[in-house]
Amino acid sequence: MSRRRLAAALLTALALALTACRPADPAWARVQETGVLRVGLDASYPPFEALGADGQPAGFDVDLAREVGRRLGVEVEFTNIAYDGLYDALVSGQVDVLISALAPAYGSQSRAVFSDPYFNAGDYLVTPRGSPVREMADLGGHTLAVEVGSGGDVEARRWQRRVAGLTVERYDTPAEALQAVLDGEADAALVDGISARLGVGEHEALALREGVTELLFAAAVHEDSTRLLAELNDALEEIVEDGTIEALTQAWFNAPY
Amino acid sequence: MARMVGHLLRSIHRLDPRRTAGWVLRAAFLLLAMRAIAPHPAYVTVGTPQQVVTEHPITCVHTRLTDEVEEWKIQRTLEMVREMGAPAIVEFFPWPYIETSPGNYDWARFDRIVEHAEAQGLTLIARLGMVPEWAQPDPDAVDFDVTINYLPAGSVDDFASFVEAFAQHYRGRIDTLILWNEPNLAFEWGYEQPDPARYLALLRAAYPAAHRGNPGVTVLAGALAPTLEPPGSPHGLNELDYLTALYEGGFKDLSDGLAVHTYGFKFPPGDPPAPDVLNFRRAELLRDIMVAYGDADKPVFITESGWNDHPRWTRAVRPGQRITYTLDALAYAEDNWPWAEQVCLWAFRYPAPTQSYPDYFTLVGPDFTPRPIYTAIQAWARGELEEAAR
Repeated sequence: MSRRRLAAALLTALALALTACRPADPAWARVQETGVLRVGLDASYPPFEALGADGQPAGFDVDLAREVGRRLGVEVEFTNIAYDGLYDALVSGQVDVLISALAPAYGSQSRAVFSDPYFNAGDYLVTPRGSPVREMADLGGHTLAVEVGSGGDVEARRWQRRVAGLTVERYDTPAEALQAVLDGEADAALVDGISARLGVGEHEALALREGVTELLFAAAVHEDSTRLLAELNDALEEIVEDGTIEALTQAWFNAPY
Repeated sequence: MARMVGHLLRSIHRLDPRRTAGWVLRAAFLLLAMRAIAPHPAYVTVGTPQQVVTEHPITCVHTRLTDEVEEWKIQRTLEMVREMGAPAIVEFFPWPYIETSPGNYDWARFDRIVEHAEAQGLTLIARLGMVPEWAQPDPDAVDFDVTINYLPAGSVDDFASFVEAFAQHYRGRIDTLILWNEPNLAFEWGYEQPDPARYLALLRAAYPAAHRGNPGVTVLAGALAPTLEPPGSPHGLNELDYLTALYEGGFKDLSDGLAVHTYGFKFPPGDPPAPDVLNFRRAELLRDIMVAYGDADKPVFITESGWNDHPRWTRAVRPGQRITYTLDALAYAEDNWPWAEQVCLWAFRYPAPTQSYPDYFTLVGPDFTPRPIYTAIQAWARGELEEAAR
C-alpha cells in the first residue's frame, strides 16, 4: 500500500471514528419535530424577565427568545423555574434552552454549554450628559460614585492606584450612586450594566459611557445540543448585526445597547 | 468498517521498520525539544515564619486549596489570610487524594500546604471526607450512581484507618479534625437518605482512631448543614432533629466539640433564632441541644458561615449589607458566644470563578483582587473600625 493510500485510510478511519463519537442532538430533533422551542427562565429579574400583569413572562430575554424562535421558524414556550433549579431543568430535559440573564458558568456543576454572549452586564461608567469624562482614565481630580462592596467598588479601588486625584464615594445601592451624579455630589458613577442602563433610561441628564468590566450574559443549552447551539448562535449573530438587539435594549431600558 | 480497520492494520504491519524507526526518533527529538523550551514552574520557598496580628482572634476563614494547582497561589492565599488578620483556617483534605490505594499514603502535596500555613502563623483545622474509588463498589456492579461521597458500610473502618494515619502524620501540626461534612444531607452520603445512626457508626470507628493517632487531637463532629428538610425528605434532615438523634445515640462520647455551619442568608446577624428560620443565630439552637445533653463544656467551632451578595440568588443580600452583616456577626459571636472558638467564613477564594452565586461568598477573587469585604474584615481585625468609631 502506498503512503498516500495509507494516509487516506487513516484519515477515513479517524473521520468515521469521530462521526461515531459525535452525540446526537435530541433537543434539536424534538424542536424540529414539534415546532416548539422550550425556554426556561426565572421570571424574577426585571427587566430581563418578570411576570406581567397577565401572569405571562415579559422582558428583554422573553422578547429575545421570541426573536430567536421566529428566526428558527418555531414557536416558543416559556417555563418559569426558580434560579437555583434552572440548570437542573436543562440537564434533565425539561427545557431546551435557558435564556435568563445567565453568565456562563464553567465547571462541573452542570452539563450546560453556552451560546455567544448577547449582553454585557459588567460595570459601566455613567456621567452627566455633556461631561468631559468619557472613560475611567479621564477621572483624575474627579469624584466617582459606586455601590459599596460591589464590583464597581473593586474596580474603583484599582483605578485609584492609576489615576491621580480620583476620589471614590460609596453608596448603599447603585440607584443612590447614580442619584449622587444627578445631585452633583459625584462627577460619575461606576455601576453594573443593568443599573447603568436603567438609570440612563430614566434620567435624560445621564449618559452611558465606557464599559469598564465584562459580565456577559448568554443562553445555555445541554452539552449534547450541538446543533441547537449552532442554530442559536446563528440567530443571535443576526439579531446583533441587524440592530434587533439595539431595539430590544431601547424597548426595555430606554438606553443604548 | 471492519474491513476498513482490517485494511489499516495490514497496512501498518507492512510499514518499513527503518522508516518507522526514523519517525519515532524524530518524534522523540521533538518531545525533548518541547520539554527543553517549556517554562519551568515558579520556584517557591516557604519563607520566614510570620505571625498573625489581630485584635479579633475569633476570625477564621475556610480556604479552598485542595484544587489549587500552583504552589505560589497556595502561598499567596495563606499570606492574604494572615494579612487579613485571621489566625485560623479550615481546609479540606480529601481521603482519595492522600490514600491513593489501601494503606499507601501520599502526603507530599498536603505537607506543602501545611508548611505554608505554618510559615504564615496560621492554625489549621482539617476537614476529612470524600471516598476513594478503591473503597467503593464497582459502579457497573450496582444499580445506583456511585458518587464521590458514597461510603459503603464495609468501608467505614477504612475511613477510620485513614483518620488515624492523618492524625498521626500531622500530630502537633494539625490538632483539630472535622470528621465528614454535612452528614444530614443526602448529597454527602452519595444521595442516600441521611441517617444519624450511620454517622454514629462512622464516629464510633473514626473518633477513637483519631485519638490513637494523636492523643491530643480535638475531634469535631457534626458540621451539619442548616436546612429545614423534614423527617423523611430524600434531600436531608433538619440539623436540629439530626443532632438530637445523634445525642440520643451516644454522640456525647464520640466528639470533643461541635462543628457548626450557620449562614445568615437574607437576615441580619441579630435576627433571633427559631426552629423554622435559617439565620446566623440558629447556631444557638444547636448549642442549646448540646447543653440539654450535658455537653456544655465542649467548644463549638463555626466552620462555615457568612452572607452572599449575588445579584440574583434568592438568598443573597446587597454587597454593602454583606459587609455590615459579616462584621456585626463576628462581633456578635465574640461578645455573646463564649462557647465559640472560631467563626470561619465561607470561603476565602476559589481557584477559578464559577460565574454563579458561589463566587459571591468569596473574600478574594481568583486573581487575588481583594473584594471590599476583605479590606473591611482586615480593618476590623486591626481594630481600625473601633478606633474610627471613637
